[in-house]
Amino acid sequence: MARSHIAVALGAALVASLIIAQLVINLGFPAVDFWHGRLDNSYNGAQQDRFNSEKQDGGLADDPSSYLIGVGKADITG
Amino acid sequence: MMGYANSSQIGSGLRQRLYSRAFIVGNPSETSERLVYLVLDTQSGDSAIRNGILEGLQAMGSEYSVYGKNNVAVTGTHSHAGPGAWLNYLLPQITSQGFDKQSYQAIVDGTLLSIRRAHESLTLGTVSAGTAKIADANINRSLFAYLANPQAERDRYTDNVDKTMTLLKFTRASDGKSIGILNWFPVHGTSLLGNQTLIAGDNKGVAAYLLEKDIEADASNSNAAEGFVAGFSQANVGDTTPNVLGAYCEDGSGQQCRLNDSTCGGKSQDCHGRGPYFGLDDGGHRSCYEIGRRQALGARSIYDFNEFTPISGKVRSFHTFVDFSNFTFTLSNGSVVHTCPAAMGNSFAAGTSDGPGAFDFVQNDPGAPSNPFWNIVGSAIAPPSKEQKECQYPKPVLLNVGQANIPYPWSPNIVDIQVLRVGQLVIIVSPGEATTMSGRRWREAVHNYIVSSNIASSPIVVLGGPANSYTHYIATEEEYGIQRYEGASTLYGQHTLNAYINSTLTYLPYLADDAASSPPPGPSPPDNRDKSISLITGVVYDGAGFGRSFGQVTKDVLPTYARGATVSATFVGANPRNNLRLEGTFASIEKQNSDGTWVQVKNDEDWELVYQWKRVNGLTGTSDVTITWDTSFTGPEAGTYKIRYYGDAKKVGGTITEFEGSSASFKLT
Repeated sequence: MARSHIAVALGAALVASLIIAQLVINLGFPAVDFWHGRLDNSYNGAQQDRFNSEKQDGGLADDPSSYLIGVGKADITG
Repeated sequence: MMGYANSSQIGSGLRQRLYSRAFIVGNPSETSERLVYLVLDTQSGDSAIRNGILEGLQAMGSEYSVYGKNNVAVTGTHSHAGPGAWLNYLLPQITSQGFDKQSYQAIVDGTLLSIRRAHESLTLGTVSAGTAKIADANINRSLFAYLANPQAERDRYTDNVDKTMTLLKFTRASDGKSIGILNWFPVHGTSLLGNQTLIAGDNKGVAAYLLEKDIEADASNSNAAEGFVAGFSQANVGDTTPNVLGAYCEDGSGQQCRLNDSTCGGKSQDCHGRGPYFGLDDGGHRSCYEIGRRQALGARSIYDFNEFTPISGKVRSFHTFVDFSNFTFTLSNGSVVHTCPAAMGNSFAAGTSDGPGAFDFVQNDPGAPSNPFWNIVGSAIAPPSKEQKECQYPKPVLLNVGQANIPYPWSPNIVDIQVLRVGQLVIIVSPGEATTMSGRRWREAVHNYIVSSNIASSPIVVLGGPANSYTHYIATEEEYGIQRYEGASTLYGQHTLNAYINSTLTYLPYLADDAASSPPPGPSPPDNRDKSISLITGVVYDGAGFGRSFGQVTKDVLPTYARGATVSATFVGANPRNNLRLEGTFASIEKQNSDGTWVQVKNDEDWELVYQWKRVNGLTGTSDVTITWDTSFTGPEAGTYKIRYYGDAKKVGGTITEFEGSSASFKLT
């Protein structure tokens, strides 16, 4: 009984450690430059990185009929 | 308000919110190859607004530095039912009491937000073009001038206005869904009449609203992405009208207005164009909705059924300024001609059948003899020299605005020349309102040049405007000779159109695939934003009135209405200029769910929900707000509803406080 409790506790601790490790990796506590990378990525960098990789792969970006397109709408009632 | 040049047309509420719609196209492999096409629910683009947008983009950081004067086009839908007081030059400021920073800033800030949203949504995709004929949404309001164009040229066209809508579809690659459409179709934003005072985007505002709602309601079958944006851009609008039943004398005679000068009994004032729902005493709003609906249906038909042409090739653009006060160039027949400083002719003051002018002016008065009274008025501004009169001939100069600079310039002499290119699609960005035939000539000249210089094969050429600076009208030489309203408002003399065409062709090589530079910027036009007069007073304070509170209902709804009825409630109100509630609402309709909770189903974006504000007493600062819901438009479900009012009151000390009010609930059966 006690042995199974220990096994469950160790298993839970292992899972928790993995979750925490994953969170640390995802949230990026460590280095300052890692933070900068994330901030850039969350703004425009994510898009650019994706386009660059597609370009390198010779994908859609090389097609003359492939464009970057974007639409936006906002209130101007003055 | 801006459009009819009527100082007594002062805004009293909101029928529909106004929007900037931004469309960005770029080369995924080269960040510098981008363009932004803006469609604003305003009377036009304008130098002040454009300057504000370009400055704002610079301030948004390096990420936005790719957007600048060469590749940002600021066009207006030409609504005549929007707020005024945001334009750069004095002439259009006069009837809206100068320049109002609040109104200006709302347009600039909203436009920048629309660009930011477009930029942040950038994704890989395709652009494709389709067309359809919309037969019943425009006619020519200056047929007599149009008929002055050569017979052989007119015979090439089946209609005396352009009836083809050209539409671009933007489709993202990730899932094949459309993120938006952008189209060009010429029809004046004059469905809403000069005697109504509610803010709206006129027929193109309706068209965009209806198509976006239609797509949103049926997104999966429409294969459209969330946030789908529909831009209805203006085209060669100059002599078009949405009043498709024709122009009639409202003097009891029931006769059509005289063809050559749009008069009734020799006067302009009784001649009015009739929209499809003429006869309703509604300021034209039913006709406006109908003309908007016809454009939305046309766009939807292209979107759903048309065979689209894929757009393919480089993204290019250029912009420069050219001084048209004395621009000398050679016509195709070899003669050397020049333009003149801007001037308005007598017929400018006659107005059109969409909005007749005042006094004794009529259209079609080439070479009219001098009128001593108006000569005195005109001379008080800037007397035209002999050279200016000769240059502007046969236009009799009424307002010599290009040489009037006190207290600051009245009208532009320096004009924007801008063209955008996406593959074989070429967009002429016109600062003025080109007439039907002017637009055809301009597009054809660009088309031929693009082909002959191998910039693109099988080009699709469209014209969008009025854009960037507002330079009034662009009539052909033949139409100029007739001197109806459009000819009289063609600023730079009889060679105005050819000057635009010549300048455009001069810089078209900058659109070539191998073009690596931009044209010289040209002379700088004056920036009048910080020196403009403003006679619009701010809000002093709001008062609720003795024993009353802001938002309190003073006239409540009835307990029950039949669907199709008009429901309204009146509240103790406050001045809406305390808070424009941008991206928000002044009014809403809430519906009760089966669990007793309430959900908003309409807001002041919706055409059928009208917000009206009325100052009751200037001394006590009291005002009424009436919110009206016309349930006949969209057939809402039966159920229990209530009207909600959102306001902001200003105290004597300047503090502004939000408040809300709610009507009693009512049943719609």
